[in-house]
Amino acid sequence: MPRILSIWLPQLPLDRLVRHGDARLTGAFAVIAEDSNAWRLTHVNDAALKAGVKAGQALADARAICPDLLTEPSDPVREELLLRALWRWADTLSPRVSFDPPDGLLLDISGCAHLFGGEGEMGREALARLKDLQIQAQIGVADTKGAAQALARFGAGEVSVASPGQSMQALAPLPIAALVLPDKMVAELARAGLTLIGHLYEQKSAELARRFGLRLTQQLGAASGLTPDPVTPKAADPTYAARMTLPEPIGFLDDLENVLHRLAEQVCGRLNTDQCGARRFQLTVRCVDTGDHQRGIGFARPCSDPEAVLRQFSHPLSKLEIEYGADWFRLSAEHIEPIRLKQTSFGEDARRADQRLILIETLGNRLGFDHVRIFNSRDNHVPEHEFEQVQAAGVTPEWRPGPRARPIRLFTPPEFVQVETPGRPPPAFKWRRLSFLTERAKGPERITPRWYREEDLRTRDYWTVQTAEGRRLWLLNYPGDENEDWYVAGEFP
Amino acid sequence: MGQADLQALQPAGRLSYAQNALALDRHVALRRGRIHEVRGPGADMFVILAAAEQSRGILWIGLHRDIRSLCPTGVQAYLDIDDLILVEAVSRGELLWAADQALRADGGFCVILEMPDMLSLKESRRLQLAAEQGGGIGLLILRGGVGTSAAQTRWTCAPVMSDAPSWAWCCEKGKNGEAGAWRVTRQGGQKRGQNAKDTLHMAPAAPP
Repeated sequence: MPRILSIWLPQLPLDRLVRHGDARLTGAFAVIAEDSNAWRLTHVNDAALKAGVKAGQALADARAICPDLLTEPSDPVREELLLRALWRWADTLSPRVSFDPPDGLLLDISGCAHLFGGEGEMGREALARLKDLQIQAQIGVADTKGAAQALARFGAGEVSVASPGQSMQALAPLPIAALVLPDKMVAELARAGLTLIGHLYEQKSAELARRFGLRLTQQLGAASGLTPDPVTPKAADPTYAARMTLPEPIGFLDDLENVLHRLAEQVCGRLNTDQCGARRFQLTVRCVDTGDHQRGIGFARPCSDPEAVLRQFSHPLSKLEIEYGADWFRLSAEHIEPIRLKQTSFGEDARRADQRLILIETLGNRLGFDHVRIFNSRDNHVPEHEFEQVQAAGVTPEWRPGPRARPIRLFTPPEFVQVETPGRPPPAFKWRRLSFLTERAKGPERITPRWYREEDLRTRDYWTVQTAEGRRLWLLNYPGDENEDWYVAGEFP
Repeated sequence: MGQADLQALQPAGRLSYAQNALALDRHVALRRGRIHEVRGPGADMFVILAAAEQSRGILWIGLHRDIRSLCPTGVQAYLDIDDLILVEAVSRGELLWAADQALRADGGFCVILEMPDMLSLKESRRLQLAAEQGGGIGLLILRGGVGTSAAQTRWTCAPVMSDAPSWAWCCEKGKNGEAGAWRVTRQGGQKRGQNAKDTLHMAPAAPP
């Protein structure tokens, strides 16, 4: 039989402010949140409670009752971060900890309690440790998640323990709201005269399900252990980051690089142990006078080599303007991907591929990865759409040769030609202020437009023209067009 | 020259001049670890044929219009498109920086740089030093004027009117006395520039 311990943190947003040493909390204080266009109080401290303010009240009402009330909008992101920190802390109690958002934690303590001298002792120990962290909590221990949550929230004392197999009896005197149910359903149940969980035991579950929906019987089944509802501990996403705080600010490039080297060795060491690499590294430098500066670098493939990180950071670091020095640094790896180990020192091809990728990284980090590209073939019959340029980083080039011989330069849009002597193609013309005489011409190659696209819908005729001057041009004309204009679409070698 | 002879030309460290060069022909070779300047309307073809001799990564660095106008369905006849990396720079500074980094990088890349304007002696010297460090080869397509430079050779190239596609290549400057002019014809199927005859056919189609 599993044993579950639920920690409920009823005043988490207030505790967060208390931990920050917020002086306003000595008087009446409340955390507020916007709920359907009205600001309502969500968490209220003791002084405010004494003044007659309650959680759930509208802010305007609360201000009328207690004019001295100070408030602060809730900050769900920071509260979640605090909860996440507590979740990491909770593995001092049990190795299997899961979130119970927005303000709770669930621990599977099967086989752990004896280490603390029993379940009650364990709960009190956890409470004491949380109190040291200035966090208020209530704890419930039972056989199931639902029962433990209900005991933590509605139990008599700070620590309520239902002995093994006694969860049903322990839940019986608790109000129905202790099963996590929508408010509307709780109200309906109350109208039917069912206010305590114990009242539900006397009803047939089929009747309950018919009148109030399956949700109620499911919750009841899970709380009483009839249906399994295990704690699924979420594995901590490993954060590959390291930070360093220095007693004195530093500013010389050599010192910065030394710091970065140490950070990179730590981060990359951890990445290496997990056989992972990162595609991006982010460096935060906190200057004593100007605050945080963020610098990032990217890689064409997952990287876990501290030297490579240092090499790519050398340019952004040298551009960093530090006047009075910096004393806090943090390097974090992002876009983590597994590295497949391969033998790199063996074979010329692998070494060349490495050198190619290093160069792409170096260029991409300065010019932008979208400016370092390779050609990719496309299935299309329109000359300018037979290929495209794609970002080189992270792509293996696979060029399928196009079926038709094309010019080596393709001008899009085509360049206008001044026709000297009319003809098809013109025997004499001017292009880029140079005169050309047509010596030989081959064509036309007629290309129909892609009618299914919103684009130039004129049919095109291409002529390969050998000029007397030597240059081999690809002339373009739109047959059927009113003005018989000619264009140079490309140049052959 | 057969494939076997070409294999023998692959550089293995610091070797003699002949082995440390990119042979276009029995007589014409472009030294590795150097930069070479090309200009004229046939410059694209010169660098493509030269890069085709190099069986490694090729970087084509240029401004937006140069990079966007390059057409792989035409170039595929001469080069392996998979070897090609395009680098689009937005300013002259970025162009030079990218070329410097690419030449300096390990691996002996073939770096093609399209310069829209003149290169000063200092800039070309820096590129030359980078090429010496990395062991690659730099091919500069000069679209603008030509100044004093630290390049090993300077070529003027133009296509010529003939039955088969052919070009006039003229080496105007060579630090080791490589000057000369060639009429180049490409014979079908071969990925090599073929020297037709040693004629002093100075390119009449040189740009104004």
